[in-house]
Amino acid sequence: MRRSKKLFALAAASALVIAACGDDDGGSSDTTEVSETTAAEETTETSEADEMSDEETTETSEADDMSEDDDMSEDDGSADDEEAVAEAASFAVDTSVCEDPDAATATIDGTIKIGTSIPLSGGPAVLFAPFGSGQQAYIDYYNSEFGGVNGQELELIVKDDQYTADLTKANSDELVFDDEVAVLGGVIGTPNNLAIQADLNAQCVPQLWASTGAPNWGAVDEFPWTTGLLVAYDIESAVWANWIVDNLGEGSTVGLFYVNNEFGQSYVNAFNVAADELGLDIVAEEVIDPTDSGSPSGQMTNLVEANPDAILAIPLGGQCTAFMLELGNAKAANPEFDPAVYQTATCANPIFYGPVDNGGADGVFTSNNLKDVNNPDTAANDPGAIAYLEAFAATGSDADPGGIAVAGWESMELTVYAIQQAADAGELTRETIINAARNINHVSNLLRDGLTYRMNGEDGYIGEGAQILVWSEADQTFVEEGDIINLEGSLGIYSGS
Amino acid sequence: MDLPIRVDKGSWLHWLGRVLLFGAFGLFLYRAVTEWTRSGLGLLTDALIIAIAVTGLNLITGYTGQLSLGHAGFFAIGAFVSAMLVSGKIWTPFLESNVWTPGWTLIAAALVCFVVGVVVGIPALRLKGIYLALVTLVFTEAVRAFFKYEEFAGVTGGATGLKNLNYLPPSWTGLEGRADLVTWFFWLALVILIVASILSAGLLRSRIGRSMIATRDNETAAAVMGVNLAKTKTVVFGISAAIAGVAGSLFGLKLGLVEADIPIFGLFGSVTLLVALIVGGAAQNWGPLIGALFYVFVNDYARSVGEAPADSWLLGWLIDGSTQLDGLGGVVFGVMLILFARFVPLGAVGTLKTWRARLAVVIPKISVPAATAGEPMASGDVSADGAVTDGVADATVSGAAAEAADSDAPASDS
Amino acid sequence: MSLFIERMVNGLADGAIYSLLALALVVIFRSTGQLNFAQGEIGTFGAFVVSTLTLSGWPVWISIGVAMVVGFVISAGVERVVVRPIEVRNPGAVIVALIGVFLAVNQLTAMIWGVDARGLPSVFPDDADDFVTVFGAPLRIARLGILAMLAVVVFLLWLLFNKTKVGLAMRAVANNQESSNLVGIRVGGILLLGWGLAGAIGVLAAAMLAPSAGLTGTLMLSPFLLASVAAVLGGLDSPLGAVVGGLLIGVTEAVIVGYVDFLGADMLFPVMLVILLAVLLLRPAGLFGTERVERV
Repeated sequence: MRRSKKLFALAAASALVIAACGDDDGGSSDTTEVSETTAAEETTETSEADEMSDEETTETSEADDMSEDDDMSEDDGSADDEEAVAEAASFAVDTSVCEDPDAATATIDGTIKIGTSIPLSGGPAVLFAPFGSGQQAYIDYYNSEFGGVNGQELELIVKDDQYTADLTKANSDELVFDDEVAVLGGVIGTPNNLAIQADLNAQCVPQLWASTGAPNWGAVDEFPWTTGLLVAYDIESAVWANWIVDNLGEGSTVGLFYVNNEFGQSYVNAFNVAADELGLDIVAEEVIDPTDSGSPSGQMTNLVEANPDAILAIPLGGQCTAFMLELGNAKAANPEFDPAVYQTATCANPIFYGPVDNGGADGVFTSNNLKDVNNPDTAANDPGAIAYLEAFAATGSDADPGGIAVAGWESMELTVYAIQQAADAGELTRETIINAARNINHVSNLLRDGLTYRMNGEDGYIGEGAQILVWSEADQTFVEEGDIINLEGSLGIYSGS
Repeated sequence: MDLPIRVDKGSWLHWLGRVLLFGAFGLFLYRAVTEWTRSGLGLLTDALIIAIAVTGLNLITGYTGQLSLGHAGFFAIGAFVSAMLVSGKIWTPFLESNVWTPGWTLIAAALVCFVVGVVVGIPALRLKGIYLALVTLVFTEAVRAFFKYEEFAGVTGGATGLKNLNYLPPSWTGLEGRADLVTWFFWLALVILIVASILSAGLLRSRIGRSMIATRDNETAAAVMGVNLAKTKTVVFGISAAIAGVAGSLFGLKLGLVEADIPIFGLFGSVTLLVALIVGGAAQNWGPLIGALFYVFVNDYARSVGEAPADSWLLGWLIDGSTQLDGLGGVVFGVMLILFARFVPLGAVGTLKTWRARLAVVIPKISVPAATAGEPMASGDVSADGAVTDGVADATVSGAAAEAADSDAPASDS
Repeated sequence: MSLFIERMVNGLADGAIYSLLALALVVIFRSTGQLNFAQGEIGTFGAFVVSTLTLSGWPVWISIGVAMVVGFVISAGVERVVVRPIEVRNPGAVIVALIGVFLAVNQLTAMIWGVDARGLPSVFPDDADDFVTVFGAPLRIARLGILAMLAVVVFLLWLLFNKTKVGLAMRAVANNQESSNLVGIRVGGILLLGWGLAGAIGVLAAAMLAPSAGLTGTLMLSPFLLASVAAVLGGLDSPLGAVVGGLLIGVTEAVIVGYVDFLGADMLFPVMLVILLAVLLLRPAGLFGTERVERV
């Protein structure tokens, strides 16, 4: 809670500034970081011209950053002021507390094994399965394009956990002790990642890019070996709360529609804090059970009755479509009911919006920090998107490439990036990999222009910015709304709830 | 020598059979502990925890004939009770921070589940078969909703559940911290399974046990013969729930977190337990363990087929490269369940026993039937398992009934 | 008032889906005495067939008809290939097989059609402004259509059971298989017919639900659960009970969401437990079910 308040003070202050300049850093960073940002942005710009050569440029330039950091931490005190600030923020893990410190510092030879545990089967869980195809796509792409990491081939081992936390734990043990993977990357689900967090941190196996936006992954001090992937739910809630205040005014009324589970509750908790800070009035709270696959007609009737200025909708999977269909019906039947509706980023996917043909999806806001590969313009011109689409098609998956597979690809891009950084800096060990991940400063192929993945010892969160989007039913695509919002560094580290 | 061999109960041959069986099981466990990696031992522990819950379910569904889909509810209650006590969410006298030692919460979970089980058992007095199954299923989902209910979130954690439950091995075990966590839970689960099995066997030999089987085989007849149906059903429901609750409590502590949306706490869990029971063999003393092992390891195999279809002998010839077939693991497991039900309809233990019967039969010692013996009431059903009776007037037990109950109890297994 | 009417009609329309599915469950329970766990999944499978056909240009009505035939064949196939051979050996094991069928069909749907959500056109006018206003309450034509569809199905089933020879045979088999066999009824064929019918009704239910809920592999998971509760509430052997039970659950849901502030849609099951216990403790065989007298 304390952390969230700090965030909102920051968010409220910076959102306007940021929206105006389209650049960030909130005044909190030093000159080194600013220059890095500029470099990253330049790279991104040129990347549109030539993708392949640029990929390498980015890597080498940042590999240099990494080795500099390492040098600095070794000879303490000799750095000048500018570097001292950077050094304070840079992160180094302590391997002496590991179950087996030697394993954490042992050089990784030969094939580099990456493990992951995601749902591939099992009731509703199977909906997550294309994530795995996205992961495989990146590994295949990197192996064929770059010949692995400095000649060491990458191997992805996918385990099926049916979205069941106890199976995730079994899979994690299997990956670490039987398959002897170097790292785990992109495990899906909050309870699933929580179930393996304590073990992996004790074993000192990097648990990279947990595919959830729960606040827990920023615990740099307590669980340094775990990093998160998605834009933190706190950030999204803050972004929408700020949008309401800026566009509809203070004191606006808000209705909540959320799925009653850990995921929905995390958003609602964060939004309540934001609404409190910014003076928004929550007038309706409607819940839906995570397993409910019917249409939320009763909940919508209540929302119409409360007639709020804005709605925050947090449905899950097919419920995204059902919610918007119902919204369209309600709007048509009640002309005075016309709230600004934001639906969370997990629904930000044409497969959920496309089937809505009654006007319910038109004008619904959402956000995303990744490029929309289903946007015809992006698909045709963006080198990152082109590379992704080609690689994804090669996996033979029949899933929508713009679906959850994108996040799978991203989880592997970041995993491989951290490995590449560690390898370039000298020795490839689990320790150097997690240090590289915790000190990441990277613009991935699919990250939206203007954002950077950045973490350090004082910043435990990777996704702290997003682009607000609006669905256009006529064009069947998302349209960008305003400039990109970058709250990089605002979340700090997680200190427990 | 003619088959089947006739073995007298309690003879040296009978004991040899028992020693061989338990010896083989002991050897299997010994190999698992010494040679398996943490992952295999972890799966085995999961199977043992499920086996504990199924042992509970077996009492009410297998031996008493009351189809329950409510045991995931008890499982969840057990898990949440432990989690709430360990996280100091419930005020406790004599404890400053309200934080319990995890071990003691197992007992608390058992007590709470016993009480809830007795209450759930009351509707069972009126309801049968699928009606009871559906009511208990709704109970399971209601429990899940209750733990997620916002108003109680301060105690139950609400939808986000309770986290960071650490039950590290105590120092007297000689096990060291988190590295030996799996080993610790393996032994814990094994000991509790053995205790639950002995309890269950003892119960079956008691008067209540004979009432249970009588109730299952013919409720009306049992009532006529003086079985107190109300007491039998509610008490057995309570005991059965308590055992499932302890299993749930172990599950939560092993996982380190509880969250009402974890599938095993809902419909899926109840179905899992029922499938494990029937696959292993209902009303068989080894059934829960065999069924749980089947469920966990066959499911693991089915998932492994789905993870890398090209590497499996089953489908490898059909599929090339790293093709991922979404949902394949589920299809394989589903088909395996169908095939199992088709070709092993009596459950693994039941079928093994019919095979064994071709090789050897155990001849029970003949005891003199009591004067009020109920043989005439056994309505033509004279199989060792089915003979049902209880004393009419003063509930003295006939020899035949004693053996009937005995044949369901563990010690008679060879 | 208008709000009340709107809520009730929406609740009834949701309930009609449960009723349809519950009807299917009852038809099977009457013939075989089993709860068909795979009922909902066969429906979802059929809805995807509808989707495939409509996407290739077929009219919705005809697509649903074809999909119902597919559902009929699958369901009858399950009876013949899976249920019957197991039942003769151990009726207790049938439930495991049906859970297996549930899992296999559910996951097969994902394998065949992928996991992405899709829309399904409605057979009724279903644009945003297709509603009629009754006492100020906007009632969607598609929802009224579902209720009408339920009435049609009930009427046809009534005709079948009460006015045809096959229906008579079905009732006879439901009552006593052995005696039916003795009087020359082909029990096997009747069982196939019962299961097939249930499969077809299940597909219809799914095709009615999908247009407003979006079509994914999870479409029928929660409706199936509520439909089985509805069937038990109304009486597992009573088609009328299934209809009443389903509608009752739909209305209960609407009341909880609409009028009970401290309970949300997520608290449906605790409320259902109370209702179910209240009804079943008074009438153990459900509202309209018949208690079977057991011979000792």
